[in-house]
Parts: sequence; C-alpha cells; structure tokens
Amino acid sequence: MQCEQIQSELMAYLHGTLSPQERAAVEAHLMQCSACSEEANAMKDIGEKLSQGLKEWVNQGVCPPEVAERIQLSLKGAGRRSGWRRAVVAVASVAAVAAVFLVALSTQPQFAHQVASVPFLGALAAQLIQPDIEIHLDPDQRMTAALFRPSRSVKLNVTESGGGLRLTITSVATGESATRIGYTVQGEGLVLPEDEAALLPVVATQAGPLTCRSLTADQKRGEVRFELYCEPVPAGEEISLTLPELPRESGGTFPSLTATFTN
Amino acid sequence: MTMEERFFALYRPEQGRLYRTAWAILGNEADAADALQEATIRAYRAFGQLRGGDVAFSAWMRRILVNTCTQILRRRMRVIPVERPEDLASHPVTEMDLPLEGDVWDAVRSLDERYRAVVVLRFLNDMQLDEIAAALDIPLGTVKSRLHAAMKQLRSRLNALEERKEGRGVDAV
Repeated sequence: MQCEQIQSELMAYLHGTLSPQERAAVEAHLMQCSACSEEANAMKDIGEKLSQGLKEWVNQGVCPPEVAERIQLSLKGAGRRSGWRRAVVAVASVAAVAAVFLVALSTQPQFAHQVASVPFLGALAAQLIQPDIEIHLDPDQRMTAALFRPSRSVKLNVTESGGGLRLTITSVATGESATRIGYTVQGEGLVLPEDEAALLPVVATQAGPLTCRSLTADQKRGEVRFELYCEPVPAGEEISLTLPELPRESGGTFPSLTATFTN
Repeated sequence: MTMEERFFALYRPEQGRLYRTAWAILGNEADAADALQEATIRAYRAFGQLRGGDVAFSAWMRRILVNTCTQILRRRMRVIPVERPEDLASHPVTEMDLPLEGDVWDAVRSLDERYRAVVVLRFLNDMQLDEIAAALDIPLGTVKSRLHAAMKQLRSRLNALEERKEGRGVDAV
C-alpha cells in the first residue's frame, strides 16, 4: 500500500471499519513507514482528546431555565406557541409565515451565480453550486410537522401540466389543527423565485381561500416535493391548489397551474 | 406518580446534558433549544413505549434527541459549498481567532458545520462512520474525508491552544 492510500483509509482504520484484510494491509504499511505511523498516532491522540473533552463539556451542561420552562409548558399544551423563539412568524397570515423552506431546481452549473443574485439568500447563496438546495428559515415549521397528527390521509395522483411544468398532487392529510397537502413540481430550468413568499401556492375551497401556515420543500430525483400546511379542511371538500408563476432559468416564467382534488 | 411526573423525574437530570448535546450537533443554542423541545415532545408522546425500565431512559431519550438533531442537519446540509468539503481551505488559525480560555469545545465549535457535525457525532455520540453517513445522508467516503480534514484542523488548533496556554503559564510565573 502507498502512503496516499493509507491516508485515505486512516479514518476507517482508526474507527474500526476496515475488513480484516484491509486492516492487515494498513498495519503492515504502518510498521514500515514512520511518517504514516506518526500521522496515525497523532490522529488517535486527537480522537481521544476530542472524545474526552466533548463528553466533559456535555456533562457540565445546564439547560437555561427559560428553555426548561418552555419545554415543560409545551408538554402541558399551554403556551406552546407563545414560548417559541420565532412564534410571531407562525401566526396565520400568508405574508407573515411565508415559506420556511426554499428550494430551487436547476441543472445548470451557473445556478450558483443566479442564486447569489437573490438578495434574500445573501452570502450563503454564494456558496451554493449544486441544485439540491433547501434552506430552513424558521424552526417553527419543524414543530408544525412534528406535532401534526393526521386523522385521515389520502394518497392522490392528480396531475396538471402546461408550458413545460408539471404539478402533481400526491397526498392530502387532515388533523385537528391543519391540513397537509403534498405535491410535486417538475420543470426543466425551474429556479428559485427572488421573493421566498412567491413559492407559496394559493389554496382554496368553495368557501374561500385557505390560510397557509408553512411550506416545506425538498428536491428528489429531478422534482421538487412540497408539503404545505394550511388550516384544516373537512373531509370530502374539494380543494384547488394554484401554483404561482415560477421563474425559468432562461428568463420568463412557467405558467400558473391549478389542480383540483378532494380531501 | 402520574406519567408526567415520572417522565420529568427521569428527564430533568438529563436535561443539561441533552441541551449541550444538541448544541454540539447543531452549533448554536437557539437551534439546540428548539431541537430539545421537539425531541422532548416526541419522547413524552412515546414514553409508554419505553422498554427496559427507568435505566433505559437516558440512552433512549438521547437517541431521540440525536435523531431529531440529525434530521435538522440533513436539511441544513443540503446547502452545498462550491468546493467539495475536503477541498475547503481550513480557516487560518491566528492568535486573534483563539478563544482565551480555549478548550476542546471551543476548537470544535469553530469548525465549518460539515466538519463539526461528523466530529461531534463520532466523538461525543460514539457513532460508527456508517451510522453517521446514514444519519446525515452523505456517502461513507465523505464522512471519512470530512473527519480526517476536521481532525487535521483540530490538531493544529488544539496544539496552538496548548502552546498558548503554556506561554501564558510562563508569563504568569
């Protein structure tokens, strides 16, 4: 084995994930190469220091009283919202809650520069290159998802296409406090809108528009999967979801699409 | 004793450690507080399913917390840097960068998030490399290269801290 190979396998060796044959090969090299042997010893020492140092630091930990109180209140079901760090953002207003995850889909390498030009993303975006992007802006949303307990859930496959964009409603689930609509969007050259709230669709029943609470999004295999949490909708009601006009990488926008489905 | 009282009797002594564990994984206290709250709610709801009695609580609660934190990290870490992480230039360590009372945590917290996460999961939570890869949804090779790069950076930082401490000790004399 060469030194370069050893270096690349050193972590696996030190953390015991090599096969017996690989381990024997590394050990044979370490016996005869003082440079690699020193590196291995140094890494082992630093690992021991890290393990001991981090565990000591954690064992000395004290939970801040306000956090402990907030947690206890949340379990009692009282003050669940008021205790949240960013609770103000969670009140039911489309403008206020907006989207909490942003996703952009692109297959072009210059995407990083496009995102970098979006003021909202700031310096973070300048570091982006790959299209698989998800930005978490509001931890409250995680709680919406964590606390969501649907009493009924329906799998759907309602698709609308137009202008190179495809919208598919994949599920709708309703619980006591919210309805969650799952949908996917596919379109070549789909990019992040400059305004994060512009990702939010308009959802409505015959009774009128529904209040959106949050939106999550994730890119998987060439499509963006969204989960929208909105106010609860009774079973059997028809819901329409209208995508906003999403921007194209080459300029212009995809057309707005509307899919209608039954809860 | 009600279920809630029993839960808190087991939970309270762990809370400080849990809080710092979340802080170490997520890198800041605000997210740690949110993660701990989320994990606590999950644990409370699943408390009836705890097997192994009260002695199993600590490891069980910790596992729920680490899972909650890595879920959060997975989402966060989809923000990918221009360079491959292993090619990222290490932050040059200068005297000004070094915390005055620097210790292992100060050195670890100053790492880039991608590095810090694997270091904490490995050395604080004793997770195997393949477990870290699965938890963060990254290839095993990436875990190895990040860990190696992180440990190289930490070696130089901790050595610099030690030298500095020794230097201060001499001054004090």
